[in-house]
Amino acid sequence: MRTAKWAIVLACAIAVAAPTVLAAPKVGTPAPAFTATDTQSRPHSLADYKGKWVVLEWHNQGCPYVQKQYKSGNMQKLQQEWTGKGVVWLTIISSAPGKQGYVTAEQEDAYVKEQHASPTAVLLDPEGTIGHMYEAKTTPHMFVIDPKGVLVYDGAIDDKPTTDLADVATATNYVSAALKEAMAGKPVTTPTSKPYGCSVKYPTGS
Amino acid sequence: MLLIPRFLVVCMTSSCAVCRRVSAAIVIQLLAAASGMAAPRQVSAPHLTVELLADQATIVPGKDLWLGIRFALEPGWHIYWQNPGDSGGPPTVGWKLPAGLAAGPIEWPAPERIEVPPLVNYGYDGDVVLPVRISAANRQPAGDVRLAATVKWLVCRDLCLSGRADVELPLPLPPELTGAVPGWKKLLSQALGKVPRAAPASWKAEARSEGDNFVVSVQTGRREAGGVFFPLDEDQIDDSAPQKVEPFAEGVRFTLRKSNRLLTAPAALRGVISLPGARAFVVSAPLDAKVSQRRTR
Repeated sequence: MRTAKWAIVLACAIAVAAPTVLAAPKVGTPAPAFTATDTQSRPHSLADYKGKWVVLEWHNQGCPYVQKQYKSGNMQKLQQEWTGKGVVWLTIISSAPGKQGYVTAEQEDAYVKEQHASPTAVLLDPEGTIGHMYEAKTTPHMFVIDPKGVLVYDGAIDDKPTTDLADVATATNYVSAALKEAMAGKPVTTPTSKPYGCSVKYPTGS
Repeated sequence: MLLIPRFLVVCMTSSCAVCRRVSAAIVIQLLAAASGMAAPRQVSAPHLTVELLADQATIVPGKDLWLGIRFALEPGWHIYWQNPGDSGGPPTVGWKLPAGLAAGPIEWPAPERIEVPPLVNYGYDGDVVLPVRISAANRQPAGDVRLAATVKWLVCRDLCLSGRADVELPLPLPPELTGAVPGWKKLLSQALGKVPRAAPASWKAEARSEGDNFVVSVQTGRREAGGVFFPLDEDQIDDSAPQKVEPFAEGVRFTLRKSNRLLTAPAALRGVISLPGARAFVVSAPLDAKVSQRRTR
């Protein structure tokens, strides 16, 4: 009898706790779980990458802030450096069809080739599902997730919120800094920062 | 004497129209630089015009002057307040002033909430004047001066463009501009009227944490029918979350969603509140740690 009562209490507690899984992303707590398809029609789940470091990069090839990172070669350099160290780098496109930055899988593959980019995969999120889950606001907007699936960084790519290519050289890159510190088992000095860039072009009304 | 490089002369006389135009523009720049030619008072740039204006036609030694940086924006485009909200950045100004004159900071008029889904920005659209106090306390005598500024800005719609302009205002004003002073004076006093004031000492502002929200109560001594809270510190509240505004007998209460990126509780929430009747005040609402703890446990 007593056990049954506790089972009900426990069930209620789980029911109350469950929605927190869908809660806003917060550094120090588990990163929201997602599944998406990449430009090669391969599925990717965050859960597949337990045990690995994961970087999420919100992307829009037409945005001047994104172009700053790609035209300077900086984003490609970061992708190469960190995937070389076993990091899973997921570029995510949340532009809706008909909106600026929306691309087909073929168009994005051509862009990746032309830019000599080397993300692990480019995830297509035309309904904005993952974008809303992470409350991605701008392109770029960067997240770093540790091997336990805990969010360790949420914010801007660096500390120079401009479109000026020249600023890349003197900027402090928050993603690299977070990965270096977290991988060394140190606390991340800047675990959050305000993302800067173009607004994510979500479907209207979503 | 200014020597114009030979290649420019060749280009200026070439049969290529674009070459002629470009080289002529370079020569004009060179001439301007060499002669110390005045920068314009007004500059047109993509999606806006920026100009300098003043509330006096001349510098009066010992008397402060109000100078305005006026942005006239194309419909649909905006520039930013000191805290831009979810994205963007405020305009900046670098002064080049003659000895004896000193520029104060930009006095920011209360902004508007500008929705650019999924973002909310704090800024201005239409026609906005940003006042700056020029102190002439140490200026003797008046003389001819030029107030020169390099203005930089970010202008956005759903996309953004950065811009800059070198502008200057000669004082005393040339005769063709003196007639504009009464109009400028009016624009400046309107802009200064929108600059938030310090909250009266009799007001009481306090904040408490309630789960995902901060609740900021401001006792103004009367029921406030509405209002908007503009945070002065970035990343304390979620700028794009709708604000719940509740009037009560002695003031108004704002329920503001916390920013995802706020990891430690701030000591206070500082902000500008815009109230009905075009009133705007700076408030600092200390966060009551004891009350917050009780509520969240």
